[in-house]
Amino acid sequence: MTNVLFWSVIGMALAFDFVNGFHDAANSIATIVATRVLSPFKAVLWAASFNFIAFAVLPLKVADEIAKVVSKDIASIGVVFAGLLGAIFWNVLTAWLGLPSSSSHALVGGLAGAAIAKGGWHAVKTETLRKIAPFIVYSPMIGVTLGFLILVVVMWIVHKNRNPKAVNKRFRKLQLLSAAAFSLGHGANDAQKTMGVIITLLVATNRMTSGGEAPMWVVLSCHSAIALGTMFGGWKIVKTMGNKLTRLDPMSGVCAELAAAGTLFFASANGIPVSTTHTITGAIVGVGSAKRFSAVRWGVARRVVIAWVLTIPGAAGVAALTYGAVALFN
Amino acid sequence: MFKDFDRRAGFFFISAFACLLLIPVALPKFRFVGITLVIVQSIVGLLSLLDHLSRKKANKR
Repeated sequence: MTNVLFWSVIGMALAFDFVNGFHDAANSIATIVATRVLSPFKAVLWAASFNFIAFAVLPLKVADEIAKVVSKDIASIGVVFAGLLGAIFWNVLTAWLGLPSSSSHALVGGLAGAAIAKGGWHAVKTETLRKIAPFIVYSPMIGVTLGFLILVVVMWIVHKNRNPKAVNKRFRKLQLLSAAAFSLGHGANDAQKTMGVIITLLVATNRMTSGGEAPMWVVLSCHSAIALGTMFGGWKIVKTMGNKLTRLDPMSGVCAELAAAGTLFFASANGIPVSTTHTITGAIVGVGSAKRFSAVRWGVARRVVIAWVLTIPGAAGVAALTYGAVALFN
Repeated sequence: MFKDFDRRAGFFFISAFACLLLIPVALPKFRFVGITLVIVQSIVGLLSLLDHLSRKKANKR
């Protein structure tokens, strides 16, 4: 029975990862498709490949950090199940309400909520939360600042060029590079969150020692799930998004993606789980405000702030309730 | 009073203030991120304000 539950929760974690890729695919490929640098099919293949190979480029520090959210003696199949269910429920609810919430914040909130419901406040490592919490705000802010500065520098470099067509052409090609960098950062940070959940589960069921290296099947399955999600999601979203895409010219697109990729590389290298969606939103706001402040859709930015405040407590609350129900069955 | 206020500068000043508030919460190892953001955003805000004021002055002429 324990085995069935164990593999069911692993399946649930991978499904969460797949949906994450499905949702975020548009972030990686929106600009290259909108500017017709690549066809939608080639663009999703491009993004998914970089999602997949991210584990070979960036260290697995984010997974270690997520695995540290719940104390070793509190972690159990029930806690991980409740945490995942809390995160999934919160994602579905916010998608229905149109709030751009972060799956990553929901996952951390869900795990913390379920752990607190089981073992009280001591069940969660405060140091890990202190590492994650400020970056809920910092990561989009780094995106805003880098996006703004990169665009200003690029505009200063190209302003003397009297041939805008040639500049545009060059940036269209550079978009391949920036989209690849963003997909690499996305794959590294987001796939590792699921990896962290699976590691928590492996440690809880004594299949792995705490602090040990993640088994290769975990690494490969998480990266495969997010890459597959990107392939399926990207294909569907690009077909339906059409004119809803943010109006970004190739130069702004490159700057926004490079700013977001830089933020994600920094976060992944330091083991900080951040929201890739909020990071790219911040970078686009930065690029937009460097050009014309009123061109930024401030309604979206406002909704991101609301999502910041609500996601962790919301997902934690749902996960705590779920854990309560699981405990009743136990 | 707020009619002539540069919204972009305001945005960067508010962002800098939010980052400032989070510095004590962050782990000592990562406080440099908050400090850097506060400094850079304050400078960008200030430059944006100066740009706005100089444009306004030029328009009046």
